[in-house]
Formats: sequence, structure tokens, C-alpha cells
Amino acid sequence: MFKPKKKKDNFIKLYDKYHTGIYRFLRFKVKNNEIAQDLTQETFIKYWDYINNKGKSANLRNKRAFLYRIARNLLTDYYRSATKNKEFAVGDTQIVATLADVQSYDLNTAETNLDIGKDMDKVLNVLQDMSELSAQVITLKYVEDMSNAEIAKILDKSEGAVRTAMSRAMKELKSHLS
Amino acid sequence: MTEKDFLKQLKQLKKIKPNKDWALSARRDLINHINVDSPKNLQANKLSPVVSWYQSRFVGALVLAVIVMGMGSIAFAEKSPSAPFKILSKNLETLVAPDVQKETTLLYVALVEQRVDRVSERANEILQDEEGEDKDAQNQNIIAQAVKEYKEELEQARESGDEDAIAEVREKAEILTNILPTEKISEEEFVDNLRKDAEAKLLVCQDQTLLEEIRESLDQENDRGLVRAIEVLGRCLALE
Repeated sequence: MFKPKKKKDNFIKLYDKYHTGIYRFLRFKVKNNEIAQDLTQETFIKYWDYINNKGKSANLRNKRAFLYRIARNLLTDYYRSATKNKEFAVGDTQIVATLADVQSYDLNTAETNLDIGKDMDKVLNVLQDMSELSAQVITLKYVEDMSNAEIAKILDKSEGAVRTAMSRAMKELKSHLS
Repeated sequence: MTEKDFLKQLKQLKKIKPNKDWALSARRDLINHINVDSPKNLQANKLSPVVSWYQSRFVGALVLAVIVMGMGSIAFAEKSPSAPFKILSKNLETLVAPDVQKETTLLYVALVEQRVDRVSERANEILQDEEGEDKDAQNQNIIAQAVKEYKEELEQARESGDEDAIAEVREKAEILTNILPTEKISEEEFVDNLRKDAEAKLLVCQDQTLLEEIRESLDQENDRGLVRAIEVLGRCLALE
């Protein structure tokens, strides 16, 4: 009676294992904690819907990378939606200010909200000042401990492109620190 | 700050974690979401009062108290001076006779054993309440009859020891289970709900060793594994 449950069990295990990482990945990029939570949950729902619809053909070699890729796509959709809404909100200073926060995430505020200590202030500022791709490759590599192959899958790039991006990110980092 | 220091500091960002309550709630929502697809599970969703019955320890104890009363009435018919909960324990020993130790029986026994203390407490309260005794008299007779029939089935299974006899015992167990809650629930759904409940509560367990043991038990994909998982989960939750 348990055979059909295998897939569900594996899915729940996947949630247990990766929901923190996915949440963190999203939390760095959105101002609002609730939005990060919603997007995290949506990530897993999309993952389930994908493997459920694909059935046996959904043979994912790297489930973790696939989850982060879904999260990244959801983030893109979220930004796109926010930008679109912004077009309709011209003149509304409060909404524009909110959307501006969404697009240019204030990591100093995040530092306060996330309660991770003042020592992290500079680290977060540096990340904020870096290009989006550089900040992503660095956080995926050094916060989430991912391999270049995994990062490549998430960013939909070749491993070579990731190595190049990483090299550029480190140069960018040095220039920010100097 | 050097590049090395920066990368070291970056690791500290790992401290950022989602709210535990939210994580648990999202996990429950996801379990509900993945169970929506199959008609069987839709049926299970309709049985939410039954799930609640399981989750509610008080009601669970109350229901089992009715069994105790039923068994007690048999015992009184046999002029036994034993207290009802002692009779329950005695009957449990009969139920788990080696030749009929099927996984489902073990499951029921494990659950009953976990609650035996509460049941005995509640049973004594009911026994002291004359009005309650009168009110439950009819139910006692029904349950007593079911238990009696179940015992007869067990005897037959013990004698024959074949698959058909075991299947009959399981069927009887299902009938007995259907009597316990006010709504009907099949044996499969009962086990299914137990498993879902265990999965939903997993996240609360912070002890990695126990957590691993629970997962391994659930991975066995049989009732024995589920019983083990519930037992370990109980220990882990007690630590929280």
C-alpha cells in the first residue's frame, strides 16, 4: 500500500533538506520576509507539479540545482511583475518607493531584520554593490557550498561560463574591498 | 577586510533560516497539495474529522476507554475482579500471539500501548460516574460483541495459520476500527493518516540521530517501519 507514496516521501524529504537554502537564496533578494516565504513554498509546489506531470520522464540528475533554478525563475517573474505594476503606479510615491525597495534590495535593512550581526554589515554592502551575476555566483558558491556544475545548471550556463563569472566576481570583489 | 576574511564572513549568512512555525505550516500545505491528486486521497481529505480524532489525544483516550469498558463488561460477565485496563493489557497479549503477529496488529498494539495510561485513568473516571456508565451501556455491548468476535477470529487464525485466515482477522480488525470513531475509516486510510501525521510532525524533531532513525523507519515502507517511526518520533517530541 506504500508503493505510490515513494515519490511523495522523496518530495517531502527534499523539502526538509532544501527549504532553508531556498528560503535564504530568495531572502537575500526580496525585501519582505513573507514574499520570500511565499516564493519558497511556490518553488516546491512548482517542483512537485513538474515531477508529477512528467512522471517517469522527470528523471532529474540534480534535484537541488533544479529547485534553485525554479526559485530563480520565480524571482525573475516576481521582479517582472513588480516592474509591470510600477508602470501603473507612476505618481504613487508610496508604491514607487516600495517597488524601488524590491528592485534595489536594501541589505542594510536586511541585516537589521535578519538579525545576523553588525559584523556582516560590510559583507552585505559589498554584495549589494556587486553585479547581480557576481553576487549570485559568490553566494551560491560560498554560502550554499555548490559546485560549479550545480551553479551552471541553476544559472543556465556552461561550467566554463560559471568559472569565468566566478573569476570576474572575485576581481570585482577585490576592487570593492580595496 | 581581505578577500579571505570576506569569504569567511560570507559563511555567516548561513545563519539565516526561515521561521520554524512557517516551515512546518508550509510543509503541511505541501503535503496537502501533493495528496490532492489521487481520488483516494481526496477521500482521505473528507475524513479529516477522523484524522482529528487520531490527533486529539483526549478523544483517542475516550474512544479507547469505551473499548476498556467493553472488555470490562466481558470480564464482569466472567466474574473477573480485574480492573478494565489490566484486562486490556491481558487481551493485548492475546492479540499479539506469535502466530498472528501481523504488522497491522502490531501497529494497533503499539498505538494502544502508548495510550494505556491515559485510558486507565479515563476508564476509572467513567467507572466512577454512574450516569456515564448508564449512558455508555449500549455502546459497551456493541464494542464488547465486536471484541469477542475479533477474538474468535484470532482463534481461528491461530488454528489454521493460513493466509485466508489472516486476511479474515485483518478484515475483522477493520470492522472493529470502523466502530471506534463515529465515521468509517478503512484500515488502509487509517495507516495512511498515521503516516501523514508522522511526516507532518517530522520537522519539529531537532535531534538529528532520532530524525535519521525516523526517516529510515519510514523508508522501510511497511507498517512495522511506521510503528517504529511513530515510537521514535514520540521520543523526539518529548525532548523538544
